[in-house]
Amino acid sequence: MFKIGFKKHYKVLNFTTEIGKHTVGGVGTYMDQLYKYHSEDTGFVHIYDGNDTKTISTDDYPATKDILAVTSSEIDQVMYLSYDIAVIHFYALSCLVSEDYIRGRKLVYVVHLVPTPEPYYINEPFGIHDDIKFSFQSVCNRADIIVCVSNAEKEKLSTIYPYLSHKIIVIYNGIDYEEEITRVESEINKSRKIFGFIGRLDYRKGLLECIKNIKNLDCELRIACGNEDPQYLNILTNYIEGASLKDRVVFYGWCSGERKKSFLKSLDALIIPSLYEPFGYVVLEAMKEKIPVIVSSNGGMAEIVGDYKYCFNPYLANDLKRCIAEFQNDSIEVIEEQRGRLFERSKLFTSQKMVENYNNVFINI
Amino acid sequence: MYKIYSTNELQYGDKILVFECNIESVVKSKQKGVIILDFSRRTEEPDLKKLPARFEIYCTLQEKYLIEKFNVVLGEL
Repeated sequence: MFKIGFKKHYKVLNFTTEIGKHTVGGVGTYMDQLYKYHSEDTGFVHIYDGNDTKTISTDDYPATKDILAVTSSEIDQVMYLSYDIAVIHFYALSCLVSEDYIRGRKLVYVVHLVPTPEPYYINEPFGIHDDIKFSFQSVCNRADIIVCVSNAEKEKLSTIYPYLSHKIIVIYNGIDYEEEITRVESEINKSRKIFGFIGRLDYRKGLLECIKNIKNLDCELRIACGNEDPQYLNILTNYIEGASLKDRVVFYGWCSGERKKSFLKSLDALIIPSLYEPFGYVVLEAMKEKIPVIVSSNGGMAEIVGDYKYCFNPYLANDLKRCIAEFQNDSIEVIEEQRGRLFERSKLFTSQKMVENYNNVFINI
Repeated sequence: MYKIYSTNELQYGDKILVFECNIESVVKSKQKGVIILDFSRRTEEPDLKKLPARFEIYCTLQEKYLIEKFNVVLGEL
């Protein structure tokens, strides 16, 4: 157990597996934003895999206060923490909802993702994954309030578990927005051929479908990802080789910090081809940096971009191809107008607003 | 074809492959292996021409096959 400016008592304790450098995807971005604007009476318990060979240090975290790092084998220690409200961010932490741990306290569950395959069968939404189903259900059942990150996610959860509807609320994720920063707008190129993808290597992110859709277009696809699923990577590389796309589909590895910004700036547009996305932080990050996006309309991203031209249905054959071609053929003025609209809209999704909404939940629970 | 860019970097076409090991000495020792994209490194390098790379030695063709199957191959030595 590793205490980093951790106090004896908190009103709210967030239990998470992602924070700071321990990030896999959007949950990590969310947690860092939540941390940045957290109040004095809010703490963060980071539960990580103690078998990981990497040693943990204060440098791994966004700052040096209100953090407790606990290995999964030390999780019993959580029983002795003093706090009023537990906030759980991942169903795999379901052991924390047993009364040994929670001891009658209020529980808020932030559903960053209803863990189903995509698409899913309504009669068997979790497929063969009974362990995931039971963990997820037990946290949902015990929670006093369930927070979903978009209306799409709320609808999905309510469809699968109608009896939970009464306690589900929506709080959109947020991102830093600093008014005083003058953003250098990258010029919209006359010929738009460089597209990008950022995300986990997970079939639900729709990368294979994206590569198939660009095959017959005059463009390049740049991919920033990890290798979370080597089998899926093998499917991608086989397709790329078979379709002679090696020169037009380029992997850049995991891009974070300045490299991520540089990656985004190198693109004519970022494509988010997800089969379904509960929220889609990367869309918000691109919007804030004034990078045009081409987004799947299935899930929370449609709520982020609002009335926006370059949306497509990931389940409609060739709809992404149509959307990319439209983006390539539209006039610069049309794209500038769409990009400006997105930038203005990004101001609706600030971290400050997100934290304020959570604080209201904690006051009224 | 590659050329040595620095002790831990190789230039491969228009890309510079950045290794954690001393790749110059690997090249000089004439070891055989596959250069793969290093997905495990969370680099913040803003220069996109630079790619995180790893040198994987193989002893058998079966090992080489498996390395190539589950990775993005950037080159070979």
